Amino acid sequence: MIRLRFLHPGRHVWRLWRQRGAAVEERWISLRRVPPNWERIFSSTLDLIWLPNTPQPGRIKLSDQRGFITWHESRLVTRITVRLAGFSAAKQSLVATTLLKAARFHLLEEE
Amino acid sequence: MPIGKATQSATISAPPQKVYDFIAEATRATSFIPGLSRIHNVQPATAQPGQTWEYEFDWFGLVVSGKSKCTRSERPKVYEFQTITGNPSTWTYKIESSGVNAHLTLEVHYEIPGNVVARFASQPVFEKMNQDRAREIVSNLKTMLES
Repeated sequence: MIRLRFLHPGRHVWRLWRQRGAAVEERWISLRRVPPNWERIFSSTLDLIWLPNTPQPGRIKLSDQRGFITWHESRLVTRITVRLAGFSAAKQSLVATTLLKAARFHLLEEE
Repeated sequence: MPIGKATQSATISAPPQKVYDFIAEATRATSFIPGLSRIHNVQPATAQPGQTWEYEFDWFGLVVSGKSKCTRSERPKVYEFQTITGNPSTWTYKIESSGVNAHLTLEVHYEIPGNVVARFASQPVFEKMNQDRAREIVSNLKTMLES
């Protein structure tokens, strides 16, 4: 039996802004009570799609100058910036969408 | 119940092993299947017949969840799974060597639910939606593996 739910079970993450050109840059906002482990969420997702990366506090850098992800925490809000460069426009869009899905749904069981 | 079929092929500039390995990790499917928001509870971790997982689709704000099972994993030639809850469907990825590249074919066999067709679309429209989705999945795989 397929189950239907009207409220999605993930975190509340919204895309606020997006700029496309040689690179794609997106800004997201997440409303939460306790910040999730963003480093683990994004780094493991990049590993999954074979994009080498280097996690640092509050930031993940993609190898070969392919871009970065940063996050800034305040009391109830996380502001996330994703910048991707050096891929085709189609791949930049797919990777950004994959990361947004991960921000909403990845590692929910551990919270 | 009538049976539908969607088929799509593409040549991918990558060795067949690489294409197979990308497809055969169940959790990776969220990166190339539109609308698929989450794969979880994958057991066991590696692709093999009998492996199961749970999936969630976001369908215009409505979450549709169910369970799938791997039915064939023959590296690097065939990877197949079935949805085992809800509307039955079988997804088969066939990968053939084409020189140094891989030729990928996705075939999806599915039952056409009469109630959905009656409510939302005629059968040809429903079949076109599935064919378009197969085309998008193969195109996304080519994009992820090539560029």
